[in-house]
Amino acid sequence: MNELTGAVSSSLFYGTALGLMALAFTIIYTVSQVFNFAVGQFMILAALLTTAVRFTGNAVVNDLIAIVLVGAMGSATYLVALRWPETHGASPLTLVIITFGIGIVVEQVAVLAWGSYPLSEAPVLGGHFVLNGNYIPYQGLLLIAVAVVTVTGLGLLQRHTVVGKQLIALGGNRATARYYGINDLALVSVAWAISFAVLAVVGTLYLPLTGVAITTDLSYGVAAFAAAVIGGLGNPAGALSGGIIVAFVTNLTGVYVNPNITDTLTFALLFAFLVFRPGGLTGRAIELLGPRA
Amino acid sequence: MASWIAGWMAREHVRAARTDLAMAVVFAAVAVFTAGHGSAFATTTTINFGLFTLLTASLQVMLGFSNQASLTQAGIYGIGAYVAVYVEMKSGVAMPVALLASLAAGAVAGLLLALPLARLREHILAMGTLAVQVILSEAFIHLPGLTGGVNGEAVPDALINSVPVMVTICACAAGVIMALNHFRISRVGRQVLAVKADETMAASIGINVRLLRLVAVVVSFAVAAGAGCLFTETAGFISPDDFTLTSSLAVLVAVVLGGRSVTWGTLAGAAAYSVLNAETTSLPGLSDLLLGIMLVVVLGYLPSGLTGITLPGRWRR
Repeated sequence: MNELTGAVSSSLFYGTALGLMALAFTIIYTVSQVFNFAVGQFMILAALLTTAVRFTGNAVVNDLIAIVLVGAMGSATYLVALRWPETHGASPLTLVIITFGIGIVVEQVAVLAWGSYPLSEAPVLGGHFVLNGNYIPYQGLLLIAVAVVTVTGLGLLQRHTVVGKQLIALGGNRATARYYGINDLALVSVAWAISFAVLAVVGTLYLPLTGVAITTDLSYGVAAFAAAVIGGLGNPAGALSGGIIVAFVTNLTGVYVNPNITDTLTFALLFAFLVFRPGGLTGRAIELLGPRA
Repeated sequence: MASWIAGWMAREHVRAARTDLAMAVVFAAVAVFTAGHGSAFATTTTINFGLFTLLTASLQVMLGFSNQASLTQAGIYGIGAYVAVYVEMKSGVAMPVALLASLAAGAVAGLLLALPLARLREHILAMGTLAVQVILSEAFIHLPGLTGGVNGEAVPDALINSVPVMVTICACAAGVIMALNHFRISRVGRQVLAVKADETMAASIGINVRLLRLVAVVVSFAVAAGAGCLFTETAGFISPDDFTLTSSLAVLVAVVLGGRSVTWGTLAGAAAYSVLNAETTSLPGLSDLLLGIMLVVVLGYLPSGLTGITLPGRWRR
């Protein structure tokens, strides 16, 4: 029982973090069909800003500053590196590789600035309680609560505000949306800012549980991608469930089967989904398949 | 009409031969200069350049000819390397036999992977191959019986920094680029390029799209695995660190950096990346930083790559 409780609680925390990252992935994918592979780097960058830079003495204020800053970096990233290629006919593959490049730049700058050694980040909510002999940190529960609020809030924003509906319209068909007078430059920048702010939430709330090391960026990024595909790209609730599924698969096989096969299993699952069920669990149709020859 | 086409084909072949000659001269010059320089650093750099050219050419077969992006090249390179070491250690066969075994292993991997990957296109294909690369990286680490695990595998009788091996690798690289050059204007090559231009159109004029895409994957993986075998001959030691997702990304970078030209693009991309890597060996972080900046700038703002800006029109192929 002890072992199971521990595995389940850590899977829930890790899964929520991955789910939020997959959500960030999905927000950008929905409006601009770009796979953003720099998610891991910016998530960790937010945590580095609160631990290594430490703007003020107050952890909550630091986290909020990091969330705003990283959100602004989201807009800046889009405007500087992706806007021009996207509007000048770059293929989706080119855009994906550009995001890989952005991720590498962020990682190396972070290493130059703060080194590659893991840092520990102060939690917003200290303390823990004991369940079946396992320490359950309050910070983890806070993460889950914030995740629920974020997903619900973004869902409401999408359905009930003009900006949300304009974002959906942009994702559906950008040219038509522009003919109807939607300012795509501003709105897509906003979407990137929201996405990066979600990443910063993960960095500031989840990484205190594990430690902050920029070198783990790519593994977080590809795990979040797996979560987004498994949950169904373009579906916020699917993203969260995809994250939970990936985390449970990873942790439970790690504890009960063999810790060496966890990544293999996750990526075998990703491969199987891409090939056989590209719409993910929720089955939302997306254009993944090319023309059948 | 027929004579016009025949004349045009002949001109194409003459041009192809000219490119062959230029490639031979470039690689011979590099090899002679390196041998004359004689330092271990120069030899290592040239060997890495030659191997990287082979990897870039292998991806060119998939991406440049049939528009199939792959992030698995380093993994397949690894399969070739481990197969070569395994075969040479267990049965003590000569290097050419090991090379054949590596080529065969790459081709088999291509056959096995091409079937499920045939359903994917463009960036989704890249993501599918990314999953394969991660699985291969994990397998290299967690199958110590076959690969030596994290600690890697020592290569018996490897010739580290040897000039003859350097020359062999340069010759192989030049040969593979020449082969690409002739494939481009061959009947099958033109069919593959037609598939790249428009699959539906290609299928409608009777081209077997599925078969050609499969062949491209098989050839590409065989070349990458063969390069892996050559790598073991010079390495003395191989470990999972040599075959990571980052290495696969570097190969993809070299191809897009080189640009649209299949021959000169391969050379330019591989050379640019190798020079950058060699110049920054003492500062590994800096080489990655430059790699990232190059990716963003070249892909974002120079979509036709290095050869797109520097080569006059008639060389762009």
